Amino acid sequence: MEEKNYNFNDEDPRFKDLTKMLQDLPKVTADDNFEFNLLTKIQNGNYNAAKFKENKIGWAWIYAPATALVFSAVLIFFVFNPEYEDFDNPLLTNPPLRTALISNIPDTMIINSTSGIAENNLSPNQKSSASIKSKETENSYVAVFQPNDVVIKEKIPYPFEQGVDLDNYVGQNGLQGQSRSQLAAYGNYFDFDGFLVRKNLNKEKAMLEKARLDSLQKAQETE
Amino acid sequence: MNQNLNNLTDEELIKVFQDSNTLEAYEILVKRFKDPLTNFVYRFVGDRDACTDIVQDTMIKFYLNKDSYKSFAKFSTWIYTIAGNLAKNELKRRRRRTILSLTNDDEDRTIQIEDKKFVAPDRAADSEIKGEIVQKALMKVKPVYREVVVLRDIEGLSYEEIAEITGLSIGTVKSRINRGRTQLQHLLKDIYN
Repeated sequence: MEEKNYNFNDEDPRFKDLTKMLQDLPKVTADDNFEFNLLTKIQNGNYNAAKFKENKIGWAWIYAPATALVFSAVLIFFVFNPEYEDFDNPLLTNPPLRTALISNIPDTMIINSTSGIAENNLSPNQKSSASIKSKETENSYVAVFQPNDVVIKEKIPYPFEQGVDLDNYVGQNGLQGQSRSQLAAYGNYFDFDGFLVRKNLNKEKAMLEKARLDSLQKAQETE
Repeated sequence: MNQNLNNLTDEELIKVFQDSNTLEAYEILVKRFKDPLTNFVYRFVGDRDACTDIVQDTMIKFYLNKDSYKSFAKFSTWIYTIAGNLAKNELKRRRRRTILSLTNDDEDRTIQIEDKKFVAPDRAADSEIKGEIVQKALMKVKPVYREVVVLRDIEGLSYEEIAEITGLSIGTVKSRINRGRTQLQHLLKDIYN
């Protein structure tokens, strides 16, 4: 190694003594058997600890801030950009019409309710709307599979074209226009006029009160 | 052959070692740099055993990774960089060990340093004791400042070389040397006044 004799005179004069002292420090030298130990290590291959490992880690760390920045930018773009509406927000869109779902799946599955075995093979994906005909009794029921997987058992409507209005039917046959509540009161029926207690007006008291108020008013005016 | 190799510069020797894997060239470079590196690492780490291990590791790294040296750099700065990085790793490891250690021996160390302040002036003049005191004061300086002060004031490297070794700008090197010297001067004011 080349000997170095740098001129320290151009250094800060405040540190002149200090630099002199540091230069005069005794030189520490390597052990006498330094080279022997070194060459023995090399020949034995005992140098696993000395292999470069920092470089691999170092290069990986270089890209860490850039990667984090890109991920943050993408995240911010998708989360906070109000114009980007490529997906339907389930909280903002109307649910699909049930009738539309039902009409899309025509399959009807008739189940013997006593055995519980399906007569037709219906794939599980098509269960959103299926009818089950019960044979337990003569009455037939329809089991409706709703889109949220809730099954409702509904009675199959009777094959009547029109319903019957009972009030109309009873009124025509003896009530002569009375309502059902009037009929149930057996003649003690009175019109309900709210919960306030009704008081009859006492004319004498009212006149006395009026006269008292008038006299008071006149007395005030004369003063 | 060996006579011829001894006349070559450091850069020429590493070139020979890279091209023909000549062990003699490697051995000459080891001989040239073992003492300066030992001095640098000892002043930086402050432990003789650790210093020997670090310099050995430096030479082994040089042997194993000779091809990573590029001819545009000075060989001395390259090998000082390796030694400096290994020394810094050792200091980090020690700091972790001190933090994790259940027995806190920091107090003992402080007491030892404090005791040195009360050494009689005639004994302090003795170069061996003085060297020991300076070394202990150096160890109290922050490692970032200590490294550049050792390279400049003890190893006698130029600002440019130190900048290359540490990877800092020359301005930063000068500033750190100045700060390190100020700290050291404050610590050693009882000795050289």
